Amino acid sequence: MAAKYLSNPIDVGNRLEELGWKVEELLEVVDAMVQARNSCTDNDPASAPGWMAWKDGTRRLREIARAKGLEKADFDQLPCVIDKKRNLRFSVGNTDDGTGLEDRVPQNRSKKGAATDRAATDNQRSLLDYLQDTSVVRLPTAAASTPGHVMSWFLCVYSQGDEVRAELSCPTSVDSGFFSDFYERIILIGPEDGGVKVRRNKPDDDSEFDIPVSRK
Amino acid sequence: MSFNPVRLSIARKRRMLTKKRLAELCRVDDHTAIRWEKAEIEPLPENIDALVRVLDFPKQFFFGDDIEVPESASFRSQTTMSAAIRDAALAAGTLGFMVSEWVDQRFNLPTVQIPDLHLYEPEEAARVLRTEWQLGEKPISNMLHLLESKGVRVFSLAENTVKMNAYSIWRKDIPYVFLNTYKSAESSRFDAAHELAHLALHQDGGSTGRAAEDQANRFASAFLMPRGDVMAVLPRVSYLDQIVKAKSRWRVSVAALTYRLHKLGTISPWKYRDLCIEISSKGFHKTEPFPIPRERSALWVKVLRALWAEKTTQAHIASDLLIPEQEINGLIFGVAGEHHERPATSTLALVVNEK
Repeated sequence: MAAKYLSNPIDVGNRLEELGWKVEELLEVVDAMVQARNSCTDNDPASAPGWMAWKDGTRRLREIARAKGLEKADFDQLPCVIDKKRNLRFSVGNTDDGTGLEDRVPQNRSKKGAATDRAATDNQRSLLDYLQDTSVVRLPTAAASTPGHVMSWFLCVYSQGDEVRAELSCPTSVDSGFFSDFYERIILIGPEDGGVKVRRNKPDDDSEFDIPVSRK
Repeated sequence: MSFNPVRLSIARKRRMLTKKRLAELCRVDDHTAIRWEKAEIEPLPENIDALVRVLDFPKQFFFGDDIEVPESASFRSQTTMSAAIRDAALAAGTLGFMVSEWVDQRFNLPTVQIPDLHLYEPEEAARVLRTEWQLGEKPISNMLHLLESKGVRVFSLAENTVKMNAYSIWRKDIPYVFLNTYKSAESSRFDAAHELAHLALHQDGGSTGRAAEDQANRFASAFLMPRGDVMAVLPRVSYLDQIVKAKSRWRVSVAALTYRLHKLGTISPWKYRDLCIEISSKGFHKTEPFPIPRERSALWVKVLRALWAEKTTQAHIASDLLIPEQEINGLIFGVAGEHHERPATSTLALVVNEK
């Protein structure tokens, strides 16, 4: 089943609101991950940029989420936050250059363990249970999963040089430790010529820095 | 509206004229010119015509409202800079404020995000600001764009002298930087980082003079060439060629990178001395090897494009502000560069009938 790919800013904003998030909040987490990656130098261990990004991203996600009433949790040693009201779980991850692209899917940069596999499998089971119970294709807002099941979402962030892409996505399949299929993908920072241009889109002057200028 | 002596003073300083020289050129007594600026007497109509001719400012300029002249600013090269150059630069600042306010009334510009870092030592402040702005340890691709993205209004000084580097000033909660684009692109980048230091470290205006300049230099050096990245890329340096090759990463001068390596302890004091001699003997202190392209303003390009799309040119801005068009050009085009998207002027085509 092809993943739902949301990139229109209005759709993205509305869908995130259903999931209990604002675009700006998730972009703050992305910023923390990019900053952490940028803080590494060639003298750091090769794994440092990814690990630092993951660590700082998780911390910022939890800081924002707990202030909103969500709970910090470690699901099978997978650090996350849980929205008990909506039965949703959120984690961050470093993903590859498939992030944000409609014709590809984001793959985690480092092989995931059994916890991620179980989260994706749970997502798939929840979806199958739900779809068997209803003719509505769209995943509902609050009751995103059947009772007892928690849907897992991943904030997938790709950061390489000046390029940053990010999406909040719901995986349904993990193959040999890597994401292979998704139910839904919400694009926060898309490619230059597509996707939602929330922030960080390269301006026409090709500057790395955002210099907004508009007529009053 | 009556004659405004403050405006006369600004125009005279822009032209780097003493009151005595102005009097000579206007063919009046020295004391007369002095009394004009002291508002003790008003120039006669024929004197005003002479002022317009000599100073090349529109007549209406001298009859405008009072305008604020920056009294103090953080200057580099204070020892080599003459009072005339300093006053001319400050007068340019006054005109820059006018242009900035004109633009602010018509455009939404980036909000100011320069934190007050006066409690930090320069190196620490550079690190804190890099963290605050999420730059990490990476080189800064464009200092000018970075400043503009953080709400700094950057203008150029068309002073055509290497004795004047740059200056910065806070006015009505807006940070301004005036850069001398007559110097090398690498120097302008360092100047921009140096002025950023003044804006962040010396917001209270209490720190001035040599100590403040040294602090700004240390900040600029650390901000442009972060310790961790420099030590990762250049762990050992034996030859000047290594520095020449590596400097493009941080887009700084050979001398600036050599000094940074010396301060980081990568090269010994003796090695530093030898390298300085080599830099001098090869003329790198005057002509930068493998120079980088000059950084150009993105903000001004956007503003000008929007204005040109409405058929508004810098001549219109000059007319609105009652100042010479070349002053606007001097303030803007040094940082914006020349562009090819100005409103097309009508052209006549010669049609030849071949019959």
